[in-house]
Amino acid sequence: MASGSPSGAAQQQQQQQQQQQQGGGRALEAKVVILGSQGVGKTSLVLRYVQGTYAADITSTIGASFMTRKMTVDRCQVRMQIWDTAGQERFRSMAPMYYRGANAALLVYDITDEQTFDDIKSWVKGERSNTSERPLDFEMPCSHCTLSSIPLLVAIELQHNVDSDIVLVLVGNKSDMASQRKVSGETAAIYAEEINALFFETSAKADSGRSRVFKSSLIAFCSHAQLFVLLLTNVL
Amino acid sequence: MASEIEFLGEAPGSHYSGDALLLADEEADDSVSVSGGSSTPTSQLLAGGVGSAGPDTDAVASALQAGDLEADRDDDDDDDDGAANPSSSSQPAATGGTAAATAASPARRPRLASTSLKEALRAEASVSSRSGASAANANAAASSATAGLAPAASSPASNNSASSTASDKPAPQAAHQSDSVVESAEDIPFNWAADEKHIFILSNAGKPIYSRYGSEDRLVTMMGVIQALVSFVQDKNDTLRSIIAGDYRFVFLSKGPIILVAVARTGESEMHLSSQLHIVYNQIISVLTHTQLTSIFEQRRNYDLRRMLAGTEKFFDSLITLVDSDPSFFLTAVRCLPLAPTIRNTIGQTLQQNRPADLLFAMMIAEKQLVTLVRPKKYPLHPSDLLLIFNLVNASTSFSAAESWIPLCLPKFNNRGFLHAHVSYLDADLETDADAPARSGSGRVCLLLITTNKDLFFVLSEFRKQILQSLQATQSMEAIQDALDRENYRIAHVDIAGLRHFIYKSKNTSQFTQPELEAPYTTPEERQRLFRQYQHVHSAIHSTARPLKIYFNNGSKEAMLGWITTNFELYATFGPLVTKSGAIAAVNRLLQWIKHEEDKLFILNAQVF
Repeated sequence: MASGSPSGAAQQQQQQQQQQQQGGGRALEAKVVILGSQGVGKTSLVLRYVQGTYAADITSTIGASFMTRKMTVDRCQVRMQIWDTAGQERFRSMAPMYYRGANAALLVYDITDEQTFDDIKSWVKGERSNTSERPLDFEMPCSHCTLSSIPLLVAIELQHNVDSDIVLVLVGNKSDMASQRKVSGETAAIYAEEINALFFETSAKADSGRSRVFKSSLIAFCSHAQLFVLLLTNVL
Repeated sequence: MASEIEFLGEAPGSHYSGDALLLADEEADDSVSVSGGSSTPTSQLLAGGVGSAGPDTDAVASALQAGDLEADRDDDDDDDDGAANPSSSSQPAATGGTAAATAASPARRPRLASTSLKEALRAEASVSSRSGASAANANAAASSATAGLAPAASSPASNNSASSTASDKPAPQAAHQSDSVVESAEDIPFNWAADEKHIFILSNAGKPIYSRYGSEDRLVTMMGVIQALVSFVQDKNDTLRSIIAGDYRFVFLSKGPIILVAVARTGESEMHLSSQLHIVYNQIISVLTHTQLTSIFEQRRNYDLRRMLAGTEKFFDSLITLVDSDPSFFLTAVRCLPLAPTIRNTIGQTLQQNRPADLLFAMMIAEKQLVTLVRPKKYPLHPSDLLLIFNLVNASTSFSAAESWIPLCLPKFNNRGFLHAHVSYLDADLETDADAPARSGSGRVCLLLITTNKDLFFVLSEFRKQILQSLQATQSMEAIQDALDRENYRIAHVDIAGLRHFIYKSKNTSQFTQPELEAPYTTPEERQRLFRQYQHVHSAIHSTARPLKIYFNNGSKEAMLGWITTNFELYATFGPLVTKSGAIAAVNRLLQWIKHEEDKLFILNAQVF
């Protein structure tokens, strides 16, 4: 992996990354698809991640939006391709077009709306049956997953055909509206475990000034996803 | 359906007052929350005149009973949406039946809906109907229509305007569980009369689909009345087109499984309101296709179409706002970004070079102006389709940060299927780098690549990169940016004394041009007034009954001239003191100026392949 860079000690890593940016490394492609009902904040989440912005008044996504983001993680350049899909019922039939071939799927629901959580379940059902015949029979850590557990997780994942398996990440969005919460963190965590998904609660809206907690959970989520995707795609 | 609508007890001599739209009995509110199961009329709407109306208007006259509409209700079908709107669950019959109305005189009216305002203000209603045979019936329907519609329409308004019971009004039950429409302003009383123009869309079964203002869920009563009216007239093999009541004009459009209604006191003609309804209808088609719309209602007549249209409300809102300020829509023409023809040609060639085989249309749009359009020779793109695309690009915020891949139906091109559009802004920063500082700034130049092939996204994405490189190499992007930064031309550039503003439509190309609006048209009110003047001239010239070649009117604030030939339509505004001959001389000079500038202002040679 990452041929062309001289291997080095940890303190040299930053320098190596710079070399990578200057064209030394192999660019990896990571495909991520965002799924979920309308109005749960898929686009906001992506915009927060990609652009670092939040706008309260955005129009519904039509069809799907495609974004790319380059990053350097662990000496490797990664080009993350994000498909942000529309949540409306009428676009449902188009979804397979986007999650086919994806490395990871973010399943987003609104913690203040139980229906959106139930909708996730139908997504997962459809998704697994469409993309992978083989059920996943390994354990995946969920909300308690730490950075150190990820390599293990990927190692297990790799025993299967990675091409056809999507890594699922369950995301409860709008955690800044905890007072109106309808889906408890525990319920979601249990379900995430059931479907072998990672689980996070995030807020695309909350900013660091007002509530650092949400920001840090967002960061945690992003860095997890980055590493995760990276390690997966490293081997592809 | 609607075979037995009866009129009960028409009170003789009762008058319907034109301003009854402002008034309603508090019971009107109750009727909104009539429980779903009951079809018994439980409340009556009183069209009562307050203040100036006098004793005449006290009488409650006729009840419109539409018992047979019950047939529309299918309990099975109701399950899913019934849960969403317990109070509104499709009771066209019940709600229609509860509307008691004062009736105007059922006397025969002229067939054309040309009743003068004076006449209308005397609280009479007239209907324009296609066949004379049933004109009387239509009139009868219309009479109760106006009366029935008005109180229903004004029911939420009553909280503000007339009723003192605003505070104890029961909250609508429909709001909370509805997952298809998020209506934050649900409990806020709404002043109907404050708004000049309302647009309602409902299904043939009387289910609300869209309302420009307020929540559809609170409009079931009125939707029921509209549905009853339209189907009553349809039942006589006739078509209800319009009703005039006071300052208000009600225009109806029944299209397949849906009914569209415009209620306006803007003074716009029936022709214009009706064409606006067609535009709104085309917007629905562009989201769903005609095929899908028809089949949805064939399968379930009682379907709540809001579920399928979820997320598109903004496009309807923006479209309806645009038709009130942008001449594109009544002209059915687009405006081009003024550019030197050589630059435009270069851009057009860029869009054609190495194009993917399945590419159908490629176009660039900047701030509601067409930069260029490339198309196959045998497939012209109708301007009204183009205007829907303009609205889509203009109203959406979600195209700016990404490449979008959207299904889109262009109703005039093919109303049966979807095309797929790759939409992106050429001057936006799409590829973000986590290691580099984020650059921001939204784009202005939108590129649309339209194809019939739904798997072409990545091919078009590559094509976009190629276009962008080529545009940068030829410095075309800078030229476009410059043209955008430069103001639109001013009337001073034209340099014709007395001419304040004009709109020129080239009929061959379906394009138009106009200068910036300047003094005295600087306030929104004045601009709106001038816009209505243009609309008025346009509809006078295009009147089907008496089409005109030249129109000249010397008003107190300005003089308006309209001139139509086989090649162009010209609408010009002069100061009020201009003479007719002076105006015509000025317009001739204007035509020379336009001829001189036309290769910049218009795309004269379509880029085809």
